[in-house]
Amino acid sequence: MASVIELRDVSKTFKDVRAVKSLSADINQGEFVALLGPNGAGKTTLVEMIEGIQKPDSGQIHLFGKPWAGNEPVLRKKIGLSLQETHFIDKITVWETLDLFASFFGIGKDRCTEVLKLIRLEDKKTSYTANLSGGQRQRLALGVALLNEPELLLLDEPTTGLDPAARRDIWDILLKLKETGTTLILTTHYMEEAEFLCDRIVMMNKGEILAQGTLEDLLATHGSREQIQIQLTEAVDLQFLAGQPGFLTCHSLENKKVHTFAVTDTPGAVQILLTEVKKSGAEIRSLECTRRTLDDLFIEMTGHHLSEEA
Amino acid sequence: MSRSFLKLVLVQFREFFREPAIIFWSIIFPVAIASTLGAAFSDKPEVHQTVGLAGGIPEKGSFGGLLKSGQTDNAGGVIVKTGSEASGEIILHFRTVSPDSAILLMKRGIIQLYVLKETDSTVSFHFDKANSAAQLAYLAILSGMNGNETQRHSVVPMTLPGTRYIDFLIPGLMMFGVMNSFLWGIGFSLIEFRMKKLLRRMLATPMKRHEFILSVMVARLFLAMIEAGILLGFSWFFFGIYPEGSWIAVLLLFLTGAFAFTGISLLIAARIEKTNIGIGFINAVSMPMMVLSGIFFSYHNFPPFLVSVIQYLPLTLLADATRAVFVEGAGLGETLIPVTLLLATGMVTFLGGLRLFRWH
Repeated sequence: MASVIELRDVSKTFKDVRAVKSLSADINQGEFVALLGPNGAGKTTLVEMIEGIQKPDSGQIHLFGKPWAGNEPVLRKKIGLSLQETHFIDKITVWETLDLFASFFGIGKDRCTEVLKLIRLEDKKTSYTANLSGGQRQRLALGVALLNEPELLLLDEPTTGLDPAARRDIWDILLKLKETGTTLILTTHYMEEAEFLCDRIVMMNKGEILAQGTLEDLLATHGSREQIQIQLTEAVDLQFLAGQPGFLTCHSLENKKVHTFAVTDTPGAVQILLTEVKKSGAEIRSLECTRRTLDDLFIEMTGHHLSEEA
Repeated sequence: MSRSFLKLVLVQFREFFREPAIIFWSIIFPVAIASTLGAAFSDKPEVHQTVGLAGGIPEKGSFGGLLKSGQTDNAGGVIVKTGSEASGEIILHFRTVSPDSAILLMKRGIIQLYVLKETDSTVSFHFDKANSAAQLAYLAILSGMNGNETQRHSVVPMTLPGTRYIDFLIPGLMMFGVMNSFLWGIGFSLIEFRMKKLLRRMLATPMKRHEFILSVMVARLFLAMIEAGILLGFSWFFFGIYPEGSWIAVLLLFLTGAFAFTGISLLIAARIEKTNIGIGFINAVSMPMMVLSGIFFSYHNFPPFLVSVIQYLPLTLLADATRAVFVEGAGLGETLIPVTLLLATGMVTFLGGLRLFRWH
């Protein structure tokens, strides 16, 4: 399959912060890729370098086999993008906004009508952009990105700050694009978004790729899909269970009352755990067996949540 | 002309006409100022002045004579009319006060001057010579005291178009409007585009940069022309003010002034990322020119070294030359120097602005 994006040793530093550290990756045609990471992980910087808005300090970026230098007019026509929080001109209507951006691509009104329908803003056609809700404004930003029927779509946090219903609306539009063979890169710090939409998840932290692959790959390579969380009335040291049959890792809070185990065999592990707790004499306050999430994985690798600042 | 260029221009027209506040400030406000000031200065009503009278009325001398010629009012004061209809009447209300209360009334601004009876035949006038209202009252009293003893004379009022204050005001106000239109219309809106990340977003399309800059300039030029045209039409109709000299000179001045302020706006907007900082910068450029450039009052009373600088401020160049065409009937030849200087200002600032301009 053809590589739509090739990143080779791409680095970018702002003042004394290394936003992206010699990062390499390939993204294939038709892939939906999520750049998942907390705020400050370098997602926006990376995406804006791919978009040709920022220049890397070193390394190479090729889109459709071409670098940005000297190919800007060609590449601009092939990509669509939305920036983190774009505002449009307040007293210009939804339709006029689409029409304006369409004119930059030399696209006619038919496509504007199509896009308007796709982003389901037909009844807001004559509303000023200032009067749109957050979800509607994000849909308009997405519509502007889709005007030129881009082969590559880059969305920077398309659903940040939206309520679940509005987020779902955006997801529905994006899922429809999957059938057309569009390549998508989106940045997000919502693991559900990455899990729901994307074939490949690239977990980023502090300008580096921590891990990447499908959801299943990630969880399988970096532990199991299941976990047990136990809360006790007294402090008990259970660290020794890590590596025992059925157990992978143990993550205990400092008070040693709350422990989280990544397990491969939940029924077996629960039995062993109950025996050990009984021996210690402590009482169980709660016991939960859950499927592990990307957030759990992220905590295990970095010590903090996806929703925290990096 | 490309479709995207037309759309860009159109978007700016729409934005302008859909913002009631902009319409108010750029069209209604200048007309309102012109009509208020015009009305205030074309039909000046009689002036009333209250004067303190301490120690009573002296028996001898022309001051006593002046007061005796007046009428007594309800409060026991004396009303004296000085001047004539042609020169403007000044009506003096003499109010009997004690010397102490006279000072208090002065502090409160109720009277500007008081007259103290020293002896039966002498009085003293107490006022601040820097206070022109007091000075006026003093001169009015003097003229009243001398009365018919001075040489007979007459006063010829100046009411011919071209010699009134409104004639001085309108051309300057029009060019002041041009300056504001460009500084805010181009400077502020470019900064707003940058702050909203719209510049960045539009640049991530095949939009051509020169088309964008050109559309901003062309849209603003048309809007400024409409604004200036409305003010001109209004002044012509109500005050009979129009360019006595060359219309082409007026157009040339308008265009080069527009270009100079386009350049200045672009330079201001080249780097600033926040509109609140932009407001400060634009005010820092426009306020001094509003005060110094002789829009509302002549700048020739400033110290000579300052005048030599003020003369070359873009707004001064533009307002002086436009006024000359309006009231002195100046032609193309006389506007050549200001036009050249404005063109040069525009060139330098425009190229500098383009060079420094940050799209992201």
